[in-house]
Amino acid sequence: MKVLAIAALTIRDAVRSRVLAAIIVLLLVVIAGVPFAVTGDGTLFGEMRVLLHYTLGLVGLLLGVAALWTACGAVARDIEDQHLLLTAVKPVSRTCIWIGRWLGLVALSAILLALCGGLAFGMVHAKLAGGGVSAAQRREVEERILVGRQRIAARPPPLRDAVAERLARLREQGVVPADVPDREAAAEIRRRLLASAAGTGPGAARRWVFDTPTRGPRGGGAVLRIRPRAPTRDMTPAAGTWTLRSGGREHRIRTDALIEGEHLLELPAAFMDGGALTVDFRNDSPATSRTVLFPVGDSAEVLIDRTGFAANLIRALFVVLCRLAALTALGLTAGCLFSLPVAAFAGTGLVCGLLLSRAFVAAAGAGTHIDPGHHGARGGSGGAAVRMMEAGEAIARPFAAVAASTVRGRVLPRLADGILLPGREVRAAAIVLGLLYPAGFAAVGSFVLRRRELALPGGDWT
Amino acid sequence: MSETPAGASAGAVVETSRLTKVFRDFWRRPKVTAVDELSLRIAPGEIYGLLGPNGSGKSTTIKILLGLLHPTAGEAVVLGRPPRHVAAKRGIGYLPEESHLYPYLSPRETLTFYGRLFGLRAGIIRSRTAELLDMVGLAHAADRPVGEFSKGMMRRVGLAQALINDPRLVILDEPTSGLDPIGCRQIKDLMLVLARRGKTVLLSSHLLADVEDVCDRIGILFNGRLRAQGEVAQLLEKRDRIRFTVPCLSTEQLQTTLALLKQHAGSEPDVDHPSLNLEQFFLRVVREAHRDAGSAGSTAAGGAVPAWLGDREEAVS
Repeated sequence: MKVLAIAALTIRDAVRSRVLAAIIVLLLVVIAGVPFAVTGDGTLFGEMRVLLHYTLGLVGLLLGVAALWTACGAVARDIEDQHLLLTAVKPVSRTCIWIGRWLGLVALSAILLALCGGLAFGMVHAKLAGGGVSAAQRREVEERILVGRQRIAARPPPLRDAVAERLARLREQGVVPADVPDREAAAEIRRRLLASAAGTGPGAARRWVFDTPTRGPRGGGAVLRIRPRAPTRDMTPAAGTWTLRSGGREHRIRTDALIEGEHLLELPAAFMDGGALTVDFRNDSPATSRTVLFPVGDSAEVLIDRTGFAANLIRALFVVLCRLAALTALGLTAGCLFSLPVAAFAGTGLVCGLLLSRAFVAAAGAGTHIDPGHHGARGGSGGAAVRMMEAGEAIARPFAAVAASTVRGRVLPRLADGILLPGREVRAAAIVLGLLYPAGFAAVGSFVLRRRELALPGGDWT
Repeated sequence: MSETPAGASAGAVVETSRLTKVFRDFWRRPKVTAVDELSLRIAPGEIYGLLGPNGSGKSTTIKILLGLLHPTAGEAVVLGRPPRHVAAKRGIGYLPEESHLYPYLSPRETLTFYGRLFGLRAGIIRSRTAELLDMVGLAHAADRPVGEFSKGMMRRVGLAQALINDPRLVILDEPTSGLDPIGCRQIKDLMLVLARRGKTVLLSSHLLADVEDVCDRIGILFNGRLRAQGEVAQLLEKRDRIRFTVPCLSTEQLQTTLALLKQHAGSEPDVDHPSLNLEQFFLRVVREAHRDAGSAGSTAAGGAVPAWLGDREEAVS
């Protein structure tokens, strides 16, 4: 009851403030303005993806900043204005004050997010129902966006033995310099093996193996989504045969116009039987034709219809809300530690630092930093730079791990792609971002509030 | 397990022992000793006045007793527990020197909010809110935002919120600050009523007349140290002088009496007419004006002290 009283006061505080009005106006501008400013590829499909990806992305960003800064002010301003004095002398623990504030702000974020999600949902359906939309355009949107399909990735190619064998051989031949560590050399060999595995020239074949689930698809069935790339700017269509095998059954599909982009191949429902599904592609193009690239990763995946767009949208918004809950917790604790401007600066700085560390570690892992192999030696000024980079990477790695746990998986691009956000991911977001991080911040925040003297004098200390 | 700190005497509502508070600067260097080895004891049902000039340490002492500041040394016990203990706060009502109320809440919402923090049931909060707002003369403004109020009206809301939990200990920091003479009288009368009903009142003020009117005992602080303490009547009494008050006498009777007194006292006695103090005169004029105008229900006119604040109903003014 006490927690709810403080939560209700927090909502009331926000409702009376001009900040909330400003945020609502900004959100409306974003929702109404982005689809006009970013038109995508000009098709209805592109428009819808912009609406769901960029518009909701900007809404999330805006609400994230608002959640962080408002939370910083919720306690810091209360302490500065001494409103907290009257609350703190009542029989209410500091933890209760923290949780009440957090609940109120999260409830407010939930309301705003639900409003924005509802508006986006309404706009999608209004556009579909509007005039000038052909049946083909509508079908494309319904099949590729307004669904929630479970994504099943292919088994990763078994490269470990090949990498180890090639590394040993190259060491023997002296191709790999002695001062390059095994880890770096193996990563480079693996990259090269993957690159060579991606190309499927005329007459060549490529195989993927998928572990299908035991639960059959919903009404929309299952599809194989392939995303071939062209090695050059050559856009000549390639031809190929797709052979699907599962449990003794076989099914062939012929594709005559395989160009760069996204293609959906219908899969028979019977092939989703919980066993292994083998997909073989054979490039049937004439010998003079181009190579088709299927980069290892997401160039082929099985998509199984699981749920509708509304349910998927709710899942996506819930994950975004969990992120807002974590940001709110961070802001509140910063507000317990510092005055408002310092708290806002520290909170924003920490978030930016986490995200940058993640980008830094990803870039370093991808080999975009100074490659010691290119410099030939690890001594001299180049070696110092490498060592500095390695030290930076070691420092950034734990922060990157924290960042990765908070923004695991890109939610809105998948929503705009009609990809189902798995239940385990939603549960993980709820547990990690909605409970664990806030609980940690609550422990720190309420400890600081307990230790802090709330009536310290400014000029007059009596 | 008892949570009463060692050294706290049984029955005291407030007890401090060598309480010291030193404010430090950013580098933790001592800056000011606001309270210096303060030892005091306040008994149940007592109205205790903490007196002192600005900067003497009155508010700091009160904030330590409320757990808002931590003592540098010494010990404080409030209602048998350390001041920062949540359970100790259940029995305390506090009116701060500045109101610190949320400006966007109305008096009704303010009292409801603080009532919920005490864990009171909705029905009790509703009835107590109505009675307290009536008592402080704000029933007519119960739904206006506090931010629109004058300082005096805010003090009245602050007083009402301090009583919402029917506290055993009422701590009032400069309670009459910003109030008109009628409001001041009402607060003083309220303190007397609360004390009669068994509440303990700790009053901090630098207005000597307020303290003299209501306090049973006072302590005078200067530079954080307790310079004098005792019952008001005893401290102020001139034990080498006697005053008689009699109905008016004729000139002849007066001469005879003065001669007799001079004969026994050995010096000329002082003779004058007793006078009202300015507050009594002001209140009499305003009361008569109210009666002539037949007005009622203004902010100045307070209602009865609610019965739940004690066992008998009494009027504030």
